Formats: sequence, C-alpha cells, structure tokens
Amino acid sequence: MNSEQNDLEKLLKDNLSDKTAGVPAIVWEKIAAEIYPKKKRRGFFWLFFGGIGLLTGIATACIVFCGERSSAQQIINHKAIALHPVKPAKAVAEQPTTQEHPALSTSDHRSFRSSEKAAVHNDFVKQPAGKQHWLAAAGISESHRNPGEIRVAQRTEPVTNEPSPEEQPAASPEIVPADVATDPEAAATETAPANSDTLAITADTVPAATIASEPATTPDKPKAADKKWSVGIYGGQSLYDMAVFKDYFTSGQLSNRTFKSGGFEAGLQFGYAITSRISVYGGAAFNRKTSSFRYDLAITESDYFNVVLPGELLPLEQISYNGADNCFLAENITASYQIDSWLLSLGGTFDLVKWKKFSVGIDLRISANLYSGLKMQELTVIRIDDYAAERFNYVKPGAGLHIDYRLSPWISVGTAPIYNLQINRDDRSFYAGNLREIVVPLQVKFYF
Amino acid sequence: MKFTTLHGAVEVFRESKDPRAFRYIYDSLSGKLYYVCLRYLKNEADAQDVLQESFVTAYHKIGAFSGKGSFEGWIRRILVNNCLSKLRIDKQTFAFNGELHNEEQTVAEEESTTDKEATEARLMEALHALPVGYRTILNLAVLEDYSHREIGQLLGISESTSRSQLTRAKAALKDKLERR
Repeated sequence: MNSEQNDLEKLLKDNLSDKTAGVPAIVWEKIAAEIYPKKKRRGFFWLFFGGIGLLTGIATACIVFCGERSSAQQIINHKAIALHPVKPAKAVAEQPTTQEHPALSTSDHRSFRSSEKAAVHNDFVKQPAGKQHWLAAAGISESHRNPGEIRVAQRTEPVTNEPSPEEQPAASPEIVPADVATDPEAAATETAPANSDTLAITADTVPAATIASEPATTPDKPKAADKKWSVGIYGGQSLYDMAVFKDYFTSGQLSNRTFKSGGFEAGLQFGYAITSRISVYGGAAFNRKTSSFRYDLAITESDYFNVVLPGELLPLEQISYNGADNCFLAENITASYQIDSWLLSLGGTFDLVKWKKFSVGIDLRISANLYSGLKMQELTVIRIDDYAAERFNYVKPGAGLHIDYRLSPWISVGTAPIYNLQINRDDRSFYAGNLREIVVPLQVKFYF
Repeated sequence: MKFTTLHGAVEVFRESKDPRAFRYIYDSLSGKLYYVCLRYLKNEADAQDVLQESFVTAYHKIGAFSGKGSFEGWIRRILVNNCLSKLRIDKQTFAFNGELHNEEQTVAEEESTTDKEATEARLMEALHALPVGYRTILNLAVLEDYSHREIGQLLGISESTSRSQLTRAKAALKDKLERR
C-alpha cells in the first residue's frame, strides 16, 4: 500500500511538478494596469500644463488688477483738477508780470502762467497729483496734456505766488529774452490742438514769452520701476541626491560601492515685471549631471560568458573566482556616466523684502525637458559591448529663493537657489524614479 | 537593461522596483505559477485572477522579502494562499471525516486530446475530478512539499486530519486513474 502511494506521489511529482502553462497576455496587461496606472502619467502632464495655466492666470489677474488701479488713479486726478477751479481775473491780478495771451482771456477766459518750462508738458501725464493740481490751477486744460501739443513760454520775471517748492518742477537755468527767435527744433515739435477748445500756445502767439530751449531735451533720470522687461543669465552648481547608476550586469551583486556626483545648470530667462513685486519669466537651460561609481562586481557565470566575454577586455588580474555563490569577482570597477538635459522653464517671482537696492523673494518654477540623454563616459576593468545612449523625459517643479542687488536701473546681480523635484515616469528608462536636486546659481539680470 | 538571471532581476527589483526587472521576473515565473494555479483551480479565469493578484501582491510587498531565501518559493506561497482563498477552503471542507463533498465530482466530459496520450493530462484531469479538499491536500502535500503541520495551519485543520485526508485523497486519485 505504501509503495503504491509512493509510486503515485512520484507519478504526480514527475508529471505535474515544475510544469509551465502558457499565460495569456491579458494577465500581464491587467497587472501592468494595476501597478502602473495610466492616471499617474496623465498627472505627470497635468502637473506641467496645470503649472503653466496657474502662472498664466496669476499673470492675467495681476495685469487686470493693475489696469484697474491705473484707471482709478486717472479718475482721482480728474477730480483733483475739478476741485481747483481757475480764477482768471485773480490769477492775472496776482501775476502782473505774467504775459497774458489774448486767446486765453478772450476765448477761454483762462489765465496762463508763463513761468514754467516747456518740458513740464512732456512729462505731464506722469507727474504726481500735486504737480498736476498746480498746473491745473494754472489753467491748462486736460486736452493740453499731450506731449508736444503745447509750447509753453517762459517768463522772465519771478511770480509772487509760486507754488511750494516740492510742487514745482525745477526752473530752467536757461532764460532767453522774449524777442529771441524760437528754437527751430522746438518749434518743429509744435502741433495744432486737437479741437477748437484747446489752447494752442506757441512761441508765435506769445511773442513776449521766452522759449526754453534745453529742458525739453534733458533726459529724466532712469527709474528701476520703469523697466518692466528683463533678461537674466544664470549658472551654478547642481546638487542631487540620487546616484544615476546603470548596471548592465543587473545581477545586483555589487559591493563596496562608492560614488561621486556633480553637475551644473546654466540658462537664460526672459522676465516681465507685472507689478513692483511680482514678475513672471520663461527661459531655457542646460543641465548636466555626472556620476562616477566605484565598486566590486560579483559576476555570475552567465553574465561572465554572455556579457563580459563578448566585450573582449578581460583583465584577469582583477577578476578572481572568490565571489559569493561561485561568482567571479571584478574589483575596483569605475563607471562614469553623464546626463545632459535641455530644459524649458516657466516661473514667477514674488519679492518679499525690498530694502535699498536689495530684494529677497520666492521663486516658483516648473521645467520640462526638451531632451535628455545618458552617455557612458568611462568604464574600467570590464567592458560592455552595448551601452548606447538613452533618452528619457521628465518634468521638474521647483521652489526657491532669489536674492538680488540692483547695481543700477539696468543691471542686477544675485543668486537664486532652487529646489527641484525631478519626476520621471518613463517605465522604459532605467532612469525611472524621482530625483531631488538643488541648483545654486549666480545670476545677472539686465533690465530694459 | 539586460537581465540574465532571475536572482539579478529580483535584487534590482528589490532595490529600485525597476519595472523591467519586474517584467523579467514575471516572464520567468508566470508560466510555472500559472500551472500551479490551474492545478488548484481548474477554472482558467480564476487561475488568471489569482496569478494577477499574486504578482501585484509581490510587487507591493517586495519589501517583506528578505532576499535570503528563494524568491520563487516566496511568491509561490503568496500564490498558494491566494488559491486557497479563491477556493474558500475552510474547516467545513474537511468536516466530515471520510465523507467527501461531491459537488466536484463532475468531471469534464470532453476527452482530453487523445493524440497527446500524456500522463500529465490524465493526471491533471483526475486531479480536477477530485473534490476540492482532496485536490488541495494533494497539491500542498505532494506537489508543494508542505508539511502536515504547515497544511494544518494553512487550512485550519489538525495535522492528523491532514494526514488522513492525504491518504484518502491518494486513494481517491488512484481510483479515478484506474477508472479512466
């Protein structure tokens, strides 16, 4: 009975143990769908395009908001003018030395103070409310406020009721007699008023007035706030936490592994200041990472004959038969890899602190690579036949700080360390997985 | 990346969850494990479900694999457990000592491919003709080399029940084979 049972056991084992059956392809598809859900890949792209959308939204909101504020400021200016009605008779009486133009007193019943320089008009729109108030009190209508429409004559004598110094534009140092011929260049800029109500005061219609020749051409001192656009160049070290390692043997029998890594990133950014504190930018960058590994490799018999032998290089002095599990042991292998990436970035900065010429703020950025490739640079002790370059894709959102020092209105220098999370979901690449990276660049920005 | 050994693929997979390493493992073991499923379950759809479930479990629980033992043995245990869950085997299956549940007695009427004349097919057919309890005991004790203690723990029965069930299962299988 026992022998019969043993025979049966043997029969079963011989025929039903260690057999295989063909597995339908659908099984792997189901497994892959469960452990590598496609949703994640969609998330990968949504992250990128969502970031772009968010930045665009912020930029649009800021532009709209700033536009509304400008309109509101204009309304306030109009009201300021309306609150200070002109009193022609009094103005004339109080300004005996002012040359009164016939047109002012007859048609518009407005007095005109000829004491101010012509250049005031060129910057009129940009003047602060106080200054506009003063000019409005002088009887210059809104319609006169276009640059070049009016040449205001300059008086030769001081007036008694000057506005406060801070309200006045600087007096022109050059005063010419009333009968001096008009500066031909300045005269050429004169244009007719836009409508009949507008006063057209020219050198010809104000013969007694004097013409300022210089103030109209004197450039204003440039202001940093006026420069909205910028071009930045940056470059600096890239530090990353994951060793980029490609194990062609795949056996996993590595020991005494050490590695060195290094890298840098350099790029160009084009920026636009939405407000004095918020800017957006887009740019391109080049990123290079190099990794160098040193390790001992226990080569299985199979690897030895299939991978090492075809490679022809067999430094036997460094391959011994003392690895674990009857493996060959190759010692002190050095393998160096280089990963180059070209990136496109979109980002925004927000200044938290502005002190004198310094500004410190946060920097949010999202980058996606146009191209990334891995190349083996060096392999010692063993030789691998096939180490073709690999390409892969990733996206890296990042957050960081920027510290700038404004050397002049046109240029600033600073640093902008940024922490990136490089996300790669390309299952076909060995480079799959996330990589954390800090880039610490120096940056020079030019404003215009 | 080229994988040349299962061991290498398992090590890479343990370290990095490399998808290609996992695919290599799947390609290496799925056929064998699918056959195991078919021995337990008969129904191909159920077998595929269990195979899928077992690989997904292995993927997520790879951290629990120490790396010292055989990976195949480890995933096979996962698979066997999943098969038993699918069969819903419990004490009730063995409640009537010697009295078998006969709902599994129905044997597929179709003749197996005659031209094969394979003992394997006959055995598999006979195995599938057995009640689920007997089939499970035979699978575990004879084909998977589980001890009666382990079988007892897995199925929630005593060691002695496991032994007696195995004896009866063998007798039943012999009977089936002789009838064919």
